[in-house]
Amino acid sequence: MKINILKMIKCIVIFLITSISFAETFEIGGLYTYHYHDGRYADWGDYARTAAYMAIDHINNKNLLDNNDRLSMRPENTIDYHCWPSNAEAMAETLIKKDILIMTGTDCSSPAVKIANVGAKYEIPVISNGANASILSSREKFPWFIRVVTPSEEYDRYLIELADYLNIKEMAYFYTTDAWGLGAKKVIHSSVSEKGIIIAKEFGFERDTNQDTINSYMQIVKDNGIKNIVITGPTPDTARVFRAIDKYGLNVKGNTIFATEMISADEANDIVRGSKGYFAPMTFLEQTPQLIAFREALKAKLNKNIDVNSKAFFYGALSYDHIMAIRHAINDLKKNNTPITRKTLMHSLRNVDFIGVTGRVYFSNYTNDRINMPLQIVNSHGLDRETMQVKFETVAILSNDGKLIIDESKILLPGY
Amino acid sequence: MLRSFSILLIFVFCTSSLRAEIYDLGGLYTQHYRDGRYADWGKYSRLGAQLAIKKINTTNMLGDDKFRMKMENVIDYHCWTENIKAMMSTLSSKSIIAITGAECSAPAAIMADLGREYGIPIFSYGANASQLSSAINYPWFLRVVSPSEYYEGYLIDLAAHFKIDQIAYFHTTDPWGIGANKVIQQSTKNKNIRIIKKYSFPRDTSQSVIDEYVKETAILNVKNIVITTPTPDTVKIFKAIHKFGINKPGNTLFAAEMLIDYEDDAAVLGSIGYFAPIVRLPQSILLTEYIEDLKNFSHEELNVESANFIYSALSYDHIMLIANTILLIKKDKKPVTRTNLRDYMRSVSFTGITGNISYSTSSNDRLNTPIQIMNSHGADSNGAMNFVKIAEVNQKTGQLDIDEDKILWPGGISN
Repeated sequence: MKINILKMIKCIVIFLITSISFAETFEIGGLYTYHYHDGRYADWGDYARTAAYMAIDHINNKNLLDNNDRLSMRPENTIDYHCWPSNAEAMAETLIKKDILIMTGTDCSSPAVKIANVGAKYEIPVISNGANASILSSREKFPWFIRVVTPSEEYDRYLIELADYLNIKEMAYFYTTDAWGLGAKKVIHSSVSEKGIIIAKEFGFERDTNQDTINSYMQIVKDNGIKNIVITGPTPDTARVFRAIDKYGLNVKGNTIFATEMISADEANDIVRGSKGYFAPMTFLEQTPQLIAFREALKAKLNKNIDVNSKAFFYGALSYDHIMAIRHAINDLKKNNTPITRKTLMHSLRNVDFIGVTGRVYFSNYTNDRINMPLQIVNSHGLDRETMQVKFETVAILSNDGKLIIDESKILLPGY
Repeated sequence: MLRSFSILLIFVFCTSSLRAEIYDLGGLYTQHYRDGRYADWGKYSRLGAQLAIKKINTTNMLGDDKFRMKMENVIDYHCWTENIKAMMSTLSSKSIIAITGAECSAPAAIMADLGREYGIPIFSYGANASQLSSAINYPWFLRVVSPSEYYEGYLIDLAAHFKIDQIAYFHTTDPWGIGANKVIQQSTKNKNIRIIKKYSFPRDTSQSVIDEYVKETAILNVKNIVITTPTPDTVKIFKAIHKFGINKPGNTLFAAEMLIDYEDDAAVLGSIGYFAPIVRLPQSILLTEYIEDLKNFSHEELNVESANFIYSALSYDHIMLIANTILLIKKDKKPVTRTNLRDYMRSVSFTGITGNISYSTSSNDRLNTPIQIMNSHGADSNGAMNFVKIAEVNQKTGQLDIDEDKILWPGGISN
């Protein structure tokens, strides 16, 4: 009897020791944007980083990783890279030297290209919550990269579809010459060619081109009497184009404006005026119980009201899901008794399939892209006097066969 | 009667709420270096600033008026010059009364220039480049530290005390490094110490280039090395010193910067026994209270000898400097504007937790900063650096009082 008790105690001790030794903490390195490189506050970046921390807390507090494993993203391993490429490689290399399993965030396409290259060089997975440049689709070029968004062509071509629906025949086109901008340019060229829309004037420029130069382009648009403008540039550049539109009085009845980026909720007055009535594509978030729970948790965490149609909220939700993708990938490996390494995690990430707060998250077998992501077109209704923030309304969603279903009653055009 | 009383109450309520103002501060602080290395001193300096704001507000130091530093107005500028102009432009366009932080000299020089262009005061807790001293060149800039010559000259005094007669010298070519170079040139000349090899290089020079320089000093058998470079570059030099076996008995090492906790093992090993100057915090009731407050605020154990703690204290005081300036403006019944902040900031004199803080009208430098020399005793098992004070500047004589018994020399040799 005494021997049996001793055996039992021995078994319990062995069980405890082995279960304890199996519990691991997986370190994450984060590259998030809190301010742009010019010091402008990026509310969407704040939401994205907060949501990433929320996801980690949720996973840890609810023991959502098998064997009581934990995720950790230490402040010292979370860098504000300002959505800017110039030091992104050095920052990524510094993170890689630490004992991290994966790099997260990398929400801006130009720096994401550099970070994805570093990922490939050092064989460490990079998962992005927002970089949607076409170039990043390629698994051959970026074998250690994956993203919870679809590439920009999936977004940008719907702007041209909408323009076509509105019987637009010619337009001026503004794009940046970074990796993302060039990818978008290809899509726009191909889409306008399909629809028989003429690009009457085209302006390609580097990211962060100064306001004076942008103004001079807009002067040309005005002088040529062009009424329709399409913009595919990162948010700060898009904001400058809107500022120029306001300056030259082009936000008037009869004109239309399309841009691939949603402006932040707290933009300057002239930017808000210049952009009123413009259209932008965005992920469509279905009001599921998961999304509602996420919204409430984010609201509590940020201690402020949240506009579920804001760019910041979309990025927050996508960021939450990019961390959840890691959780699912790790659990899948554990189920198969596969050791968690950078290499196995990368492989496992490509095979996850789960319902996140942004809908079903799963990836193409051939690219780095999330597939079948629901999209919508939102329309700026300008400044909401109650919240003093930019108000966006959904004016179109996609049908099952990929066609735009447009609700004209919700459209507010420039000058109205 | 009741009506009159009600009107009086409404009047008092309205006017008092009208009087209460919120002064927004902008911040340019470092959390990571531009290559992504974590700057833990940056974390502590932000904690110090936040604690000061809390103290000012909870003690009603400014009456009903309050300080505020919104997180969206605090930018991590990575201790780097790139994009400073754009960041300054963005912050200046907001309704903030002053920009704080500005701890790294090369970017601080740009900020100080732009402070004049945009008409906004810049308060720094750590930028100590000599060029920033001039109130004529930088009228909108002020700092709670003394210029680097005040610090680095003492390294050479210490070298002379040890009867060192020749050194190899490493410096960066940013404004701070150039200023430090002048000081070292002058001090070595005064003390008849010969610089037999000098290496000048831009910030963030690669490890392989640094290795070549240090290797050369090993080949030439130079035994004494003086370094005046920012921390990331200093770390690279210490790594090279370790690599080429220069950290050994008989050699001496001097550097302007204190290494931070959790540094790379090679850098820690290469730096054992080196000397570094830093502000000395005089014992006071204020300091004791601050230690307790910071412990409670950060929920962390503190090493009061660490660079992190000293930077937090300096940061606390640079916020108090703004509050004290506002008190002077209010005393003269003038509005609190950016221009009045500039006009009054050099007139303050108060006792901070880092000692007395006052200025001459023609300089941006704090007067009579207490200085001490620290000596690296390596790192503990958790990676925290262990610095021991081995000398301090006698405030009366200006000479170093050295406690040789506490010195640990390169190679880990004690006296």
